[in-house]
This record gives sequence, C-alpha cells and structure tokens, in this order.
Amino acid sequence: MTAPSILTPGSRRGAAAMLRAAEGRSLWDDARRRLLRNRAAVASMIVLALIVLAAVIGPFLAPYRYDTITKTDVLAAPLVHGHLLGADSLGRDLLSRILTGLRVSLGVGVVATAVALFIGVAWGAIAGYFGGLVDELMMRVVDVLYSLPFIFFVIILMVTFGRNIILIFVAIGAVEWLTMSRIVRAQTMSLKQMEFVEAARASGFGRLEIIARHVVPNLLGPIVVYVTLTVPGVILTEAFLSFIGMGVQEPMTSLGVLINAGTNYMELAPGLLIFPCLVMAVTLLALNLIGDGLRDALDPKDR
Amino acid sequence: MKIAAFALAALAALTLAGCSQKGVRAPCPSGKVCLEAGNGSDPVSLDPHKITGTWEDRIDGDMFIGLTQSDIAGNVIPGMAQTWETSPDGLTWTFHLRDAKWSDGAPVTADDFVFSLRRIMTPETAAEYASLLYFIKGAQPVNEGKAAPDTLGVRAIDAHTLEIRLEHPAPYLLELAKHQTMYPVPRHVVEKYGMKWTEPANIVVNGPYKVVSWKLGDKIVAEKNPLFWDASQLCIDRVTYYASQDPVAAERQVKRGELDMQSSITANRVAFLRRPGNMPEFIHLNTYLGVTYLFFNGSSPQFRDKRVRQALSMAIDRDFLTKGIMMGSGGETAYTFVPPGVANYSPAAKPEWASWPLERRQQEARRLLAEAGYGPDHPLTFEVKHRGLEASAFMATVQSDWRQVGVKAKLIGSESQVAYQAYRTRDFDMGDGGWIADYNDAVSFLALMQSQTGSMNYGDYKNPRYDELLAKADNEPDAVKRAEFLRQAEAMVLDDTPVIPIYFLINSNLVSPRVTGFVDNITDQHRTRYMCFKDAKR
Amino acid sequence: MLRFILRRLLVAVPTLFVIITLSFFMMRAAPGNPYSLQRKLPPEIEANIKAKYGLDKPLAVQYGDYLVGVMKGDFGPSMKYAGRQVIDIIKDAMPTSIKIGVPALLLSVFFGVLLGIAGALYQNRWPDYGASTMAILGICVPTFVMGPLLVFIFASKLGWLPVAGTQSGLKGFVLPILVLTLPGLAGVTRLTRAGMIEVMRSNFVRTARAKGLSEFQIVVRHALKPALLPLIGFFGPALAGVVTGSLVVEKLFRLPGIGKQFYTAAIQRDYTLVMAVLIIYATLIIVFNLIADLIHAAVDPRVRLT
Repeated sequence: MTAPSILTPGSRRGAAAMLRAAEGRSLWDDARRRLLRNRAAVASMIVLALIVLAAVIGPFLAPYRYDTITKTDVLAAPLVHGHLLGADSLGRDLLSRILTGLRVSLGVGVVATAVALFIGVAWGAIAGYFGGLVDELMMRVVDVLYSLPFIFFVIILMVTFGRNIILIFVAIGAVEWLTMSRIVRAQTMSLKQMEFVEAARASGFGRLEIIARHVVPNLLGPIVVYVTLTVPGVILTEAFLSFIGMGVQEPMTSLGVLINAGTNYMELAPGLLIFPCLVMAVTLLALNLIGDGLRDALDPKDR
Repeated sequence: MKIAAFALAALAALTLAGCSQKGVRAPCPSGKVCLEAGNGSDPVSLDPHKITGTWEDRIDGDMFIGLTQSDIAGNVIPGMAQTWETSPDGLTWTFHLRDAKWSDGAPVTADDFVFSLRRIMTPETAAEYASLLYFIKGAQPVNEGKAAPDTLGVRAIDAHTLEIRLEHPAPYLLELAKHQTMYPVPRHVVEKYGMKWTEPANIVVNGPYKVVSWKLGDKIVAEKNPLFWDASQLCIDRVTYYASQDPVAAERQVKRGELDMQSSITANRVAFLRRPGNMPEFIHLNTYLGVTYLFFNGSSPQFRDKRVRQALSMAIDRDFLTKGIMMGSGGETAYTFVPPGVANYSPAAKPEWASWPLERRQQEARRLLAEAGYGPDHPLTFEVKHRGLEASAFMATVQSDWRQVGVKAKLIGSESQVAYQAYRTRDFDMGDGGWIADYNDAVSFLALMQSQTGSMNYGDYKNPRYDELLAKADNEPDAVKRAEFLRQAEAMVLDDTPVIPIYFLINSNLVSPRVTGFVDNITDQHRTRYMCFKDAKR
Repeated sequence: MLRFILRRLLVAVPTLFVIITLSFFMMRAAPGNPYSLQRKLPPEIEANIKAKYGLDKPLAVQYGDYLVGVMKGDFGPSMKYAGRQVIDIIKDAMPTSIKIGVPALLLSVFFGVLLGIAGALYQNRWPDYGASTMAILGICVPTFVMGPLLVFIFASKLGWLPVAGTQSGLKGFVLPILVLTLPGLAGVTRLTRAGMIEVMRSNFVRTARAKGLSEFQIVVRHALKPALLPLIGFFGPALAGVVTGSLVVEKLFRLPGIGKQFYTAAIQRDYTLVMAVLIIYATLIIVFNLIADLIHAAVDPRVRLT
C-alpha cells in the first residue's frame, strides 16, 4: 500500500520520457539499453523470471501436493523425509506449500493489478480526454474513493461476504486503480494537445477510438512502471489480510497465510517463518528493483 | 509539540532501556500484593445479568458471591447461603443466608436475591442467559413477558431465608447457584443508578474484590473489598485483568514476569513451552466442560443414511488431531459427546470401533459408504462450513482423512459470526461447532440434540425416544437414576450419529510458579481470593 | 484560495455521505448480530434487545435516524459494550493510536530525509547503498514480520523492553513506534533521494556551485526545499498507512488503540462503533489531504489551486 506514494513523482518523470518516446522509436531502444545496463534491474528480472517459473510449474514438480498430510512428518526439520524445507504443523511439505502460496500471492498481485490497470486507464483516459464536466465528475468520484479508509473497508467486505479469494482480487484492484487514473488523466491532458492526436482528430476518428488507438498506447511507459510497483503493494495487502485472519481458505495457502502460521512456530520450527518470509522479501525486492530500473530507463534525465 | 517531545522521550527510553531490566511490571504500591492476570478479552459489561463469557465471569466471580460459590478447585461450597434444605419431591429449596454486607455497608438480604432473580427474568433486562434458569417455577412465562415478574417462584421468607420453587427437580441447582445468572445484585444501587450501576464509581459488591477502574481494550483494576466477610484471609490486594487478546504476546509477557498468568495458551505452542529451560512449570492443562463436534444438516438427503454418518465419524483420525497436531495439549480425543469428569455422571460407552486401528476403521467406513451407494465412480461430495480461525487446521486434517475413504469434502471457513449465522439458518451440509457447557451437568450437553432446543439443535435432530429420556431425567429426583436416563440418551445419540464428537476441549492456563492457590479443574474457575504469591509478605 | 477550500469541503460532504451509506448497509448485510454466538435467544428477549437499539425499525428508518444522529455528532450507543457511548470509546482509544502514530510519522520523516539526502549526495557510494537497503527493507519486510522479530530480539532475548502492554509506560511504546516507523521511513527515503538527485542536477544548483558556495550551503539553502516538495503529497497516504499499521501494531503489542477496537468491533458486529471509526478516519483523511494541498500550494509557486 505504500506503492502509490512512492511511484507518483517518478512516474511523472517517466511519463515525460514517454512523450519524447512517442516521437521516435530510438528512445525506446535507448531505454532498453539503459535498462540492460542497470545490473540490479537485470538481476531482478532474472530472479523474477525464476520465481514466476517456480510458481507456475513448481507445484507440478514438487514431490508432495500442497495439501497432502503426512502424519509422521509434523514439524519435520528441513531435509528430513524428502522435505527440502521441512514440513508444517500438519505434516505438509513446506516447499510445496510455498510454491502454491507463491502462485496464489502472485496471482492475486497480477489479477488485482490488472483490474486496477483496466479501470484506471479507462477512467483516467476518458476523463482527461473529454475534460470539462465529464472530467470534473469522474475525478470527484476518485476523490471520494480516495478518502475511504481502504483497509477498514476491505475488512467490512470480508465480514459481509465471507472470505473469498475472488473478492480479495476485486477489493484490492478496486482501490489500486485510483492512483493510476490520476496519472493517466494528467498524461492524457497533455497528449491531447500533441500534433498526432490533432491529426487523428482531423481525419475524422471518433473520440473513443482516438483514446484507444492513440492515447493509451502512448501511456505505456508510466503504466509499466506503475504495474511493477503495484504488484508488490497488492501482495503486501493480501499478506496483511491473511495476517489478521482474513486471507485465503485452508488448505489453500498464500505467502501471507504461511508467514502468519509461521509466527506461531518461530522458536519451534523457525523455517516455517523464515522461508516464506525470504520468498516474499525476494519477490518484493525484485519487483521493486525492476520498477526502479524501468523508471530510470524511461527517464534519461536521471542518468 | 507534546507529541514531538513524546517521540524524543520514547527514543530516549529506548537507549536508556539497555541500562535497566526492571520496570516491565505495572507499579504496585509498596506493602501491597498485586496480581497481574491476562484475561483474554474485554467483558461487554460488569453486570452479571448481561454477561455470557468465561472471561467476564472471571471478573464478576471475584466481585459477587451467589448462594453457593466455587472452592479453590471449582467445586460447589456454601456461599451466601450457609445451609439449605430440599423438600422430598425436590421442588422446593430453602436457603439460609449468612450475615454479610455489601461493599457500601448495607446488609445483603434475601430480598436482594429475589430482586436479582426477578431482574434477570424481566424481559426488559434482555439477559441473554436468562433461559438457563427456566427450571425455576414460572420463569419462562416471566421471561417471555407473559407473566408479571412477581409470579416468579422465588420469595424471601425473612431477611435471611430464601425459598426457590422449581418446575421440575433439578439437582444442578447448586451448580447454577454459583453461576453468574444467580449472583445477587444490590437492589438499592441498581434502583438508584439504573444502567450505570456497574460503572466503577457506582458499583457495589458482596464479594472479595471491587472494580475501581476500567480502560477499554487495556485493563480492569479491582481492589480488595474490606467489608467482605472473609477479607482478613485475602492475600492479593489488587488484581488487574488485562484484555490480552493475542495469546502469544501474553505468553511472552508471562515469561518476562509482566503478567502472572494468562487464561489461555495457543495449543500449537505448548510443545515449545514444554521444553526444558523454557517454561514447562507454567503450563496448566485440564479437561474442560466442552466438546468440538461436527453436525449434519438433517434435511440434506445424502446424510439421511445412518451408515454414511457413521462412516464419516469412523474415518476421522482423532488421535492424530490431539496427539499429532495439538501435541497432547489442545484437547482429548472424543468418542462420546459428554466429557469425562462431569459432575454426577459417567459418559456412555464409546462406540465399538473407537478401539480399532485406523486401517480397519477406514475399511469399515469404505464398506459402509459402498453399502450406502457411494464409491469411486460416485463419490460422496458435500460442503463443510466451519469456524475459520478456530477450526482451519483440524478441518484440513479431517478433510484429508475423508479423502482416504473416497469422500470429497469442500471446506468453507468463515469467521465464527458468519458460520453460526449459516448454522442457524440451516445453510450448510455439514458444520463444525464448539460447545462449552454453561454448568457442570450432562444435560447441558445432551440438551443440544433435544428437538425442543430449536435453532441451536443445528442438525434439527428429532428423536421422540431421545426427548422422552431427557424428560424422564428432568423429573427424576434421584441422582443415580437420573444419570442412567441421561446415559441411555447419550448412547442413543452416539449410535445414531447426528453429531460427530471430535475432541474435548482443554482449559489451558499459563501460571507463574510464584502464584499459589491456582488449582486446575474442569470448570476453569480460579478465584483470586484463593491466590497468593510464594514470596508474598503477609 | 478560499474558493478552493470551500470547493473541497463541498466535495467532502458527498464523500462522507457515500461512506456512511456504504458502511451502514454493508455492516447490516453482514451475517451475524452483536449478541451471543452460541446461545439462541428467546424471541421475546431478542425483540427487546433490538427495540432497545432501534434495530426493530425498518432499515430505511434506521438509516435516516443514523444520518440525523451523525449530523448532530451523535454516533449512538455501542451495541456490544452495555451502557457505553461509541464516542466515549473512541475518545478513550484515540490517544493511544496518536501516541504511536504521530511519533512514528515524525521519526520516519526526520530519518527518512536524512537518509535520502545522504543517499543522493553520495550516490552509488556506501551511504547510498545503506539508505537504499534501509528503504528496501522497510518495503519488503511487512510490519507483522518486523514486529515479532523485534520483540524476539529486544524483549525476549535482550530483555531491554517489555513484550507488550501499557503497564510500563513509555517503554512499552518504543517497539510499536519503531515497527510503525520503518515502512514510512522507507517511503520518505526513496522520495527524498529521488527529489534531491533531480534538484542537484538542476541549473540553479549549478549556478550556486559556480558562485563558489559549499555543498553544505547549497543543500541547506537552495536544494532542500524543492527536493522535499514531493514529500507533502506523501502525508495523505502516510496517514492512511499509519492507520493500517496501527491495526497490526496494536494487535501485536496489546495497545488499546483505535485499530484494535475497530477490528474487534467488526468481528463482534458492533455496528455503531465500526461506522463511527470509519467516518472519523475518512474525515481525518479528507482534512489532511486538504492541508497537504494547501501547504503544497503555499510553498510551491508552480502549483495553482483550482
């Protein structure tokens, strides 16, 4: 949830770069070169690729299912009985559970971000392009939603509709789009004045078509930066909800659920806390570094 | 500015903290003995007629004493009543009260008891637990607003003699006479202050301690009542009850000596705490008056077949639950519905299969399911709603046990409020519940499956023969014969399996070895008046 | 300026209205009720309790009554704690939340700015790496992991501080404040570093350098102010973060603050308490955002209030 505050100024700069990028392909190539020169970002991309790969195919390769209970392996230490990272309090293989949990956490992150992205881009682009009363009304809605004590609302949502992973996606996504819409709106307002948009308008394209074909594609820069910084924010939010006991259902799991369960066994089987924490920290770290790298790469002024 | 100063002070405290290890306990006036007790949660009220929870009675039980009271081990001993008689038919009880004073100096009289019992039955009081006392003559109509409160079968013969008439013989009256619903409240104070009589400034008590302050979410402080009849025997001068909701934090506080006791232990931490050099001598575990059980929705077609219900019960590896997961600390395996150790009762025999090894039980379960028409091609499939936080871990293992016999159960966990709402509206195939008896008697368990119980009989179990046995027990003045009726009823339920008992609850307390006068018992009542410190100077 | 404030306040009214409406109906739609879990109440008793809190009236009427009450500043009685007014409960709990939230915010700004400047001035040298590590830690290690960890080290192992609770006064607040400081610290560090790097490359700093001012003078006199401007926008979300964080921290350290009360109230269906907390927090966020915007406009000539 700290993500939006961190990203705002940077992405504004990223967006400025985008405007320049719109003028020629070579700036994109520059950006790619700059990104590839950033060793931290490149390393992070490799790490993230591995993490995603592990989350996607890992559960199929792991020797145990995430919900298989082996009664003799309760709190088994790492490397005992083929449990690479040990087993949890019900004798379930921790590695398999981490892989499944990672998949759920990443899934929540990606889907919620996609929801945020879709609503945010559409909302911001329309408001920015149309301007006037439409803009005024749409942005007031954003203002209203901004003042919601978000996490409290999610708690009430969970209480009202029960724990439901779809709901978690939607709830988180429905909040994260606000910042996106503001960024997109600001960029659209300046894009609107650009010559190629004028040209499109002159050749008789409809307004929505211009938004879809000319405005949105040119917002790619800030969007990419935003996405890489939103995903970790969402993962943290999901973990927070799991921590206060409102996460996904047993026997399904997520990184937050695993960490929460691990704190109970901190002294008895520290691995149950340490390993999920490590995976979560590395994932968040990689995503953040990639986000930073992208931002820097898209903004030549920083170099 | 003040805040900035506070921030700096906090920072300074961090650096200074390294120098001193003391001062983690609440300051206690010199020469006094102070007990710091983790109580788990805030009470909703201090009014004994408004409360429902054990954590609430822990405070009220230190403040009010009923006709009887708990001894150091939770047994019934005389309280405000020194002696009592019963009529031969068991329907009229006469209690002789001791000379005692309220904490404001007014005498405690039989009239206070009459007032209190009428008050809890009055519909306007909206006492959630009033129905526990429906065995008192005329109680139900009064409580339902169909009769005037003065028609209640309770009267003061004189200032020190109280008569209670009953609807049917109820040998558990003496148990209930120490229950919060039968505590006396001071008529003169309640009438003066109304709802506000329990505010620390107004409250008047007849027990050993009196609440002097309450900070919501933090703590309640009670001090010795010098007018209590046995005040000279009290060791603890001040007791503080903390709303210690996080048991793991509380556990560390007890270890540090910030708290002297905590009213619960997280089951999965016991194995760690038991380690030598940790805090094995702090752990107190004892069977509790409670059972965790599953119930079938009576109107779900797939559960009409008794064989299915039995198979599902049989297939659960209760030993793994209690010994493996809870490591012998969270509960005792349950094959009967009433826990062992309940007063005037010994539970019905366990089902025959209880002693079989798991493989044989699984085989038998598969056979029963096959007979009922379920198999690999046509597996039994249903949803189980359960209480999310309490039951997640054990439901995951139950689900896995069932998978072993080819049953596909889908788990739907939600927080307790949501789960119980679903149970009440019968919106479930199968549910999980925990039952803690209100008083130490088998009826408090068995009544759950009585058809007249209504909404709390979640499975809508209806068995006229079962109801008849419970009614017989109600009208039986002889304790031994009564127990036999109840045992027959329990055996009937165990065979019919409308509920699956999983494990009996355990009451767990973390108590500093410095504290004396803490005795483990099935009621989990531990009154402060019996406690002291080994090293206390008196 | 006045027009701006008025307009924002005008927006605040529908905002609060939406929040009240949403939370009112969502809370009422939640399964369960504020009363006993296990015991089914006799219908007469339940009716009596409902009548007492006005829950027997049609939902629309209850909603109307509630709106009127809120406008008068009356949040009604708690449905769970007999005989207590919601507003009293909040008044009781608020100081605790402020005592951990505000110092945490101040500390995170103070140290975050220091670290951020250090990181910017010594870019890609060890102070920068140190600051970045700190920032990354704050972002990647959630409060609910940091909390138990610090308790384990400073309370259980070293024994310097109490594990939890308010019984030992100031000392009991050290760890909660620390835990709550870290995420904010991370954000401030990153913002400051980014802002500072940008400013130090700008023309006016180059000019100042050419005039022969020392780096220290440049930073303090010229660069600091523009570099810190983005921070103002940080306060709104930071406040929200403190709120969220307080929920975890108050739970971990057993502090009687608003976050803990809210959580308990939502679980117990104490409708009135839940809604009052929501409304008060929303109001705070609106006010703080407004103040942040005003300050932003006051210090940054480029920003115009519209």
